[in-house]
Amino acid sequence: MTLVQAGPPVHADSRGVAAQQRRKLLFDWVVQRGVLLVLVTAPLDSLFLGVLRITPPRIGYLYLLLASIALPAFVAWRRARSTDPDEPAQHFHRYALYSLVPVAVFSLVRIPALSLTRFGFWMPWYGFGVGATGQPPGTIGSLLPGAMMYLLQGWSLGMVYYVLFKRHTLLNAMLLYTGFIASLYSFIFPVFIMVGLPATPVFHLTNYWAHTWMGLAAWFMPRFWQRSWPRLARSARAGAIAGLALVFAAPFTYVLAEANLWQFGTQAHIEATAFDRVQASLSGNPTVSVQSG
Amino acid sequence: MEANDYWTFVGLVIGAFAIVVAPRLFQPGHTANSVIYLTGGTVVLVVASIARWRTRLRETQAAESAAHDLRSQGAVQ
Repeated sequence: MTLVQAGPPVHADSRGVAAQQRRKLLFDWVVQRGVLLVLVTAPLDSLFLGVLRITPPRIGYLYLLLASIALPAFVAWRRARSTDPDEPAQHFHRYALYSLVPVAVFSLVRIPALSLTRFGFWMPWYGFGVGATGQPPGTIGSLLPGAMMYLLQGWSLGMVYYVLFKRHTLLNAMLLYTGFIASLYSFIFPVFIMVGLPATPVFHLTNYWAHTWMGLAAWFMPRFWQRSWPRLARSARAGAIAGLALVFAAPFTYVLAEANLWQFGTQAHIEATAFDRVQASLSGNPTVSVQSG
Repeated sequence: MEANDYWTFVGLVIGAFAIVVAPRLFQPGHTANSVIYLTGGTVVLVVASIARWRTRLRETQAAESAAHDLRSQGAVQ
C-alpha cells in the first residue's frame, strides 16, 4: 500500500484542480460582473444591435426595456446573496451616480472645440430621437428623446469602468477611455454614423480629447466622494453639489439653447420669408395652351 | 495591474476587433479608421501587459521576502 501517489497522477490532479479553479473564477466573473455589464450596457448594446444590423431596431428597444426591468432585480438579488465587498452590485447606487458626471464632461469639453470641428456634437442625438419616436429631425420632439438616449448611452459607458474593473486607477481609466473606447469610437462613428461625412484628423483629435476627459472624470468621482467629501465643511459641500449639478446641466442647456436659436423652425422660417418676398401678379388675360401629341 | 483588470482589457480589445472591426477591416475608405483602432488596441495591450508584469514582479518579490523572513525566524527559534 502506498500513501503517496507516483508522479503522473499527481500532475493530472493538479491540472484538474487548476482547471476547476479557472472555471470557478470564470463563473464568479460572469455572475459578479458579466451579467451586470450586459444589463448596464443595454442602451449601448441596443444601439449597436441596430447599427450593425444584427437585429431590427425594435428588438433593440425591447432588449433595452427588458434590461431596465431586470437590472434593479438582479442588483437586489446579488446584494442579498453576495459576501464579496468588492462586488460591483454592492456599490451600484454609488456607481450609478458617479457615471452621470463623465457623460456630461464628455459633452462639456466638446463645446470649446465646436469652432474647430464645425460639427454640432448633438447632431446624432436627433438620429437617436428619430429612431425612438419617429418625430422629424431638427425638432424638439426628436432632440429631447435623443438627448435622453445619449445620456443613457454615456451613463452606461461610465458604468463600464466601475463594473468591469476591480481597481479604479488612473491607468485603468486612461487605457479604457483614451486607449480602447476612443479608438473604437474612431472606427465606429465614421463607418456607421457619419456616413458620407469625412472623418478628419480634427474629428479624431476631438474624440480622443473628449474621451480622455471622460476617463479623468470617471477616475476622479470615487476619489472625490471617498477622500475629499468627508473632509469638506457644510458650505463647501453645498458648493460642490451645485458645481456638479452645473457640470451636468451645462452641456444639455447649451445644446437646447443652440438648437432653439439655429435649428428649430429655421427651415420653415427661411421658406416663409422667401415666399413673403415673392410678388406674383398677372399681366394681360389668362390664356390656356394645349399641345397635341 | 490586477489579473482581472488585465484580462478585461485583453477581452475588450480582442472582442471588439473580432465583432466590429475585423469584418470591415479592408472596406474601401476606412483604412485610416482601421489603423487607428489597431494602433489604439495594441497600445492598450502593450501598456496593460507591462503594468501586469510589474505587478507580478512586485508580488513575487514580496512573497520571496516573506518566505525569507519566515525562514530566518525559524532558524533563530
